[in-house]
Amino acid sequence: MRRIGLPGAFLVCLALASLCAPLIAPYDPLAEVGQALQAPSARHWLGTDLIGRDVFSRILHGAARTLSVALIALCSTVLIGGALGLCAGFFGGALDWLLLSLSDALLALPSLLLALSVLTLAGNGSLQIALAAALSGLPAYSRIVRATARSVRTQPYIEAARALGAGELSVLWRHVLPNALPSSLSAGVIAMAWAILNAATLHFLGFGGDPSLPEWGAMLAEGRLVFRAAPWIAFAAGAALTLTLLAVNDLARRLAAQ
Amino acid sequence: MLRFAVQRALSALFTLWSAATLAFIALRLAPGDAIVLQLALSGATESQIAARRAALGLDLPLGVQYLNMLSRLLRGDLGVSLVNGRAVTALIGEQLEATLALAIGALLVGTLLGLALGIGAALGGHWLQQLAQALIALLLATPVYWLGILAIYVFSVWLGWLPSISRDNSLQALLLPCGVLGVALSGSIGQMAAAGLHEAKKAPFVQTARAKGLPVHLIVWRHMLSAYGGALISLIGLQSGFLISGALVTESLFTRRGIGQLLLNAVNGRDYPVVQGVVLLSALAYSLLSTLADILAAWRDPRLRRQGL
Repeated sequence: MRRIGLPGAFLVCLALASLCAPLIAPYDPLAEVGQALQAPSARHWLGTDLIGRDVFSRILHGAARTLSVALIALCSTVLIGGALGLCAGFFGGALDWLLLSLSDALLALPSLLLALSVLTLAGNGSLQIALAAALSGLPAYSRIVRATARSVRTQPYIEAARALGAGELSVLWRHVLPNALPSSLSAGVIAMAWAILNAATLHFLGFGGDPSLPEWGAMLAEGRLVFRAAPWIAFAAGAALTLTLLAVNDLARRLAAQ
Repeated sequence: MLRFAVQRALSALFTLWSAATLAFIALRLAPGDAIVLQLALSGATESQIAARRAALGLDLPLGVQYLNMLSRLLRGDLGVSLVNGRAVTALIGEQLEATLALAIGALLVGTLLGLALGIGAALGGHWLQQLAQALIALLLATPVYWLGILAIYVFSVWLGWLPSISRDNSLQALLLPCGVLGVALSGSIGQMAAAGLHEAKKAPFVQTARAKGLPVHLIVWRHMLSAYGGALISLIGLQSGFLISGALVTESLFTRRGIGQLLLNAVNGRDYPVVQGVVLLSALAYSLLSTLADILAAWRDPRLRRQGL
């Protein structure tokens, strides 16, 4: 617990709250349950939005969307980026060259633009946004895994394993992987932060299909329109986004410091 | 030095070529034919679509299409918009000035503020360090549009000093967008500057300067920044990707005309040639900026000429 500290605890609580959102949210996030643009009160903790939906319930349900995007991004980054980076770093040669030039090309494209091109080609639904956002941290992550795998490759215990007659694949699986992946975990968490940020940005810009779905970026876009009359909508969504990103970034910092 | 510059420029060209190839592959990998899909959206008939495909050269073999694309790119031709049939370069050219004004202003604000934050976080007294580190963490966790909404509220609605809609490139219209994007940018510049200066603090020549009893400001300005300034320049060059995507979002927030508006309309209309043009142009801008920054850095700091490649 001390390893992940306060930010980890916050993220765990957020995950629990979002899992239980249907049970603990006071209202249906999509239903009009009160008058429009009511200030925060005992009945509506964070007020109501443009058409009278409960902002607190929407924030809770929005957490589930944000965290699932983060999870999809983390899994796909670690699986794809990890596999590519490990093989490139361990085997070297043409594969390594290919990965380096591919990631160079991807790194030259701002991740938001990359995500927008994916949306142009694949259409703009929630799943496309999650996948497009998941691409954001992939090139940087695979580069870091590659570098770690390269440095692990020359360690004495790898040489020892080879001297004992272990095959290349088994060395990769049993020795390089367990030593390279944990030390690049921090980079994976940073990729997650990028995915959260980019997914929220895409929703803010109006992509992602149905704008009535509870999503923090979309709520910020809505709150911006009525900021003068009802600043609590944008404040709630913005604060939720900032707190989550702070927690994720701090988690990455703590993991890197180990 | 010249050898380094040429090597660096060649590797940037190679990166651009891979980015163009990637864009070409992405279009062919996409589910459905992007061009057909777009035309069908606008209600074209089968024969119109076929004629359009032929006109765009889409019925040729893939290899020929690829070579055609490369040769057009080399001539600076990014194709035509599927929606209004105008050249993509012309469409971008009309919007470029507005985006450049925003980006340059923001880079200036971001670099100055970021360096100040970085110096504070790495070298300040206890309280200043804590404050600067907290500010950097907060800025890194605050999306540019959220910062922008707050800034619009404070400066346009509450104080009434600056317009919330940025119409032209006058100082008054640019101040708020440049400020918002610059402040957002200063978080990551500050983080990298702090990390660099933290390393620099441990360097032997800094320890010597300290042992000699030089005042802190002299150590910082004369020794640390002149030794690590080169590395800092190239790190700031790496932020140009953030600058480009941040500029697009900022434009949308301040309903400002520019590349951002062009791009968002193109994504909504599934106008792939325009999207691809903007993406390739920003890859060009990124490569140009980071290459220039690296060359500038290596000129300032000969040690960097041996690294990086």
